[in-house]
Amino acid sequence: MKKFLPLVFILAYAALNAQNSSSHIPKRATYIVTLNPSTHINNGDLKSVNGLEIFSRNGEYRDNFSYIYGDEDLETEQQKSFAQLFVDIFSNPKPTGVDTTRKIFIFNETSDSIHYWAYVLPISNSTDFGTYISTHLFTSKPEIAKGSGYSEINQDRMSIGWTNSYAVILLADFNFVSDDGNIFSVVTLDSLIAVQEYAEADSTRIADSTARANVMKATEEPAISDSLREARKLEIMKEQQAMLLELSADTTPEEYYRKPNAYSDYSAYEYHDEHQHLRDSGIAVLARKQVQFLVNLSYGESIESVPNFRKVDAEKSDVVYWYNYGEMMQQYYERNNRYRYDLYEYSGLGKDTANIRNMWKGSYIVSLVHFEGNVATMEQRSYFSESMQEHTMGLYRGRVDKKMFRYVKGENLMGFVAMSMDMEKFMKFYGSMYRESITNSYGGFYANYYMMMWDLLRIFIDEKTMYNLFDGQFLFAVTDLKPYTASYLTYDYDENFEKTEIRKERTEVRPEFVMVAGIGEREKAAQIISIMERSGAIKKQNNNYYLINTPGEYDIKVFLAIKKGMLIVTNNEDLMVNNLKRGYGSDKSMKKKLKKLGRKSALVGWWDGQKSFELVKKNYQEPLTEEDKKALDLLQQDVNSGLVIGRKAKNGVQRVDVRIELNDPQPGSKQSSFVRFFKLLNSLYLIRGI
Amino acid sequence: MMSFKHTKEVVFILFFAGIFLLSGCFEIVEDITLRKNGSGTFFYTINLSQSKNRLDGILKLDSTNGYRVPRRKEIDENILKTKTTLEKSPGITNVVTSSDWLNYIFTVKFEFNSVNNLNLAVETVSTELASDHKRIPEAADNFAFTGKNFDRKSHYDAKAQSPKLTAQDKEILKDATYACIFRFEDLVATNSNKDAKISKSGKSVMLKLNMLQLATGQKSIVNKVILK
Repeated sequence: MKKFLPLVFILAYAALNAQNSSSHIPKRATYIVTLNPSTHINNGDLKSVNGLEIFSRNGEYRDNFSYIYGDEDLETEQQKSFAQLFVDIFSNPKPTGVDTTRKIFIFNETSDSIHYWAYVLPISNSTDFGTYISTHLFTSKPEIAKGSGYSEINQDRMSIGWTNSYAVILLADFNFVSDDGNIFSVVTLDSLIAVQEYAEADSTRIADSTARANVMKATEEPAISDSLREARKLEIMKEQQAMLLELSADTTPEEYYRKPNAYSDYSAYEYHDEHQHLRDSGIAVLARKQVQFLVNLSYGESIESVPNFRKVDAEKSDVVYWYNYGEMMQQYYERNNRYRYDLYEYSGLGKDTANIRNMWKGSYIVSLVHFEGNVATMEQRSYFSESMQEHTMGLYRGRVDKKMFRYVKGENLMGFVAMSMDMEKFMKFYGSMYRESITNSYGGFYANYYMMMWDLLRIFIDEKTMYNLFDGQFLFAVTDLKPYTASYLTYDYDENFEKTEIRKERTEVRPEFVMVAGIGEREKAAQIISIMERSGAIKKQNNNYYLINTPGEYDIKVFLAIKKGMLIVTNNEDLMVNNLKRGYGSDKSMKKKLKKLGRKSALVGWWDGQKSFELVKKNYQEPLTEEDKKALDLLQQDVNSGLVIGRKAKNGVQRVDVRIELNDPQPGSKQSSFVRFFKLLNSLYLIRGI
Repeated sequence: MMSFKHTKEVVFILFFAGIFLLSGCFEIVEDITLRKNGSGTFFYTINLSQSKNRLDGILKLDSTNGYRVPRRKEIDENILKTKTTLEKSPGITNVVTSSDWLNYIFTVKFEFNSVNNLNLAVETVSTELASDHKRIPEAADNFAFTGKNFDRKSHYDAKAQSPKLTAQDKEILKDATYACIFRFEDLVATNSNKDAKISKSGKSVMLKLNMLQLATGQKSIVNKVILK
């Protein structure tokens, strides 16, 4: 490793000084956040919001938000110091050495076992930066490894590399659940030191701490004797040394841990807690290598080589979110394979995901955020790869039928989504997603059978019916928030404390909703309803509508009806009993201007913030704390509405505009919209007690 | 010192991968029938029925309120693991577990031939199910029986843990209850916990406490029952 360092330092110096800071972001980063703080530092906005709990992370819910910052695995005091670094950058940047006239990048990269969170900071004074971080960020004075124009600190799960121009702060956390697919879940990586310590000292400690458990295990596992266990430990330690040698060679961490089936032999070997310190050492080694990997990133591997990123980076925005959709989709399915067994186990999704990744590869979602006046806008652009353009271009088309709005009660309407899409395109899109996912999910021999079954199914079924059962028009609205009576089981005890199960009632607040979908094939829909009724899935009520037979029939009444070529699903009994025939009249229905808004585009979403917070306050069943009341008052007073409008896709780009509007500020208030938005965000953060 | 998050795992014995940490109201019933020779029946019930609608939604998420949401299959696996671990535990027989996923009520029932083996069984299960597979001191040695004296002990250090309770923890615990029912062949002469009641037959003792009061140390589960 010592031989390796000088080379890294020379390369790092050359690389860091020669390129933009974004050139140290790998193009396979899951997401990238670009902050352009200069305007808001100069006008004092950032100073005003810095003290908010969500940024300073003081207060009771601090732990729950660590994942936002990537420092979950740091000690509490170190998390606070890390948060303070950004408070200082945005309030009084000089002592931090960070250049706030340039952009700050934050990105996330996830391997099969580790989340890497990286902060790329532009540096104006590397000496100040070095002094600040070494005195503020670490639990004890860190050792600074210095090269020619490049410095590095690796301590406390944090690796920092910096030059005169840029700094990369890397946090590595390891929070995936233990499972066979996660190489860190069993005995795996380590540094030589840790292995030696383990061999010389920790084996005694481990033996002590688990003595009792081992006694019990001995009764369960007579086949594994203590001597065999010890022999196995030695075997593993030898393997670890070999792994370390490999790790210290010139392979990138990525190459290392993406090796297929690396050391999976140990997956059955139950060593978790005993080896936590070994895993920690492994993470430290990998984090250090990862920082070096980032500072020496080649142009081709960096996000700079992605033309759309360069284009977006050149635009003016306060904040830009860049989601690497291809990478996210792959990780989503991979993680679901680990966490969520039910659906994916049977569907085949989430096993080998190369095909899914290939489908989405080169697809990105970008959000550009601006603050102006009382309005925060977010322009979201989906850049689709060529293979995805075939499925997604023209997916949204037309407008929803205005008849649909009749079934939406207007009095306490909290929000709605209206969507009109090409159902055939939509169904084919999901069909091909499924097909691709099973292509290599089962591998080899079985894959062919699954593929054959899928293709045969498409011959036997009437595809047109499937595509056209719904006509592609959907309207979903939340029309109220109100108390419902729910039942639950508890116990009654007799005089001798024998318990009997009894059912009691309690009041719960739930949203009232309605979903309206246009039916394409009316005859087929009637057949499906008839089959559902025969099977008992739905029960006819008043010869007019149906009650869906949900498992919790004591509590949740969800109704279904077919009227005028529309399927209506709702928990609003009043709609079913009194207003199904013609829908709500103009006095009770949605306002005219909202109906018009709902038909403005093929995709429209609208949310009444004021009404929503008013209903939460009115209906919440438990007494609210003073803090919750204060936060809700602020939200109700300041938030006006939210609006989502989908634009027509063109040139491989689907644009969706999101607009959040605040009410006019209170008379005399000098706060800018930027400050008010973050104060509201903080209020939401503080009402977590609800 | 263990964190409260960890201790909660302990107190609730972790049968169900911490699912209660995610719910609002819940009740736990620890029902022990003891014969004169120290053998008996242990019947443990976790009833989350009051939170079932909330749990229906929560179980679809990856995490909520900072806690990872266990998958239903994980919970089923833990219940199975509980059963198989108990079946292998010395002196434990007739292990029966049940899961009512409609009402979110989960039970485990088994016979033990001595209170020492009951202690060992509870400890083994808690170690087996703990996320880090570490021995949990709070789960060990909770019961003692000499033939005439029965002790329900507790190793939960409320004084140390109470300040660590977050508002969210308190919110979760405030509507939760923990009931201990102990049934004997002989009549009960006295019991030390003033919150406990003696049955009409005089052979059973019941202690039903609010979990928040337990967690903050305002009330205690500790009880010494002396039989006639």
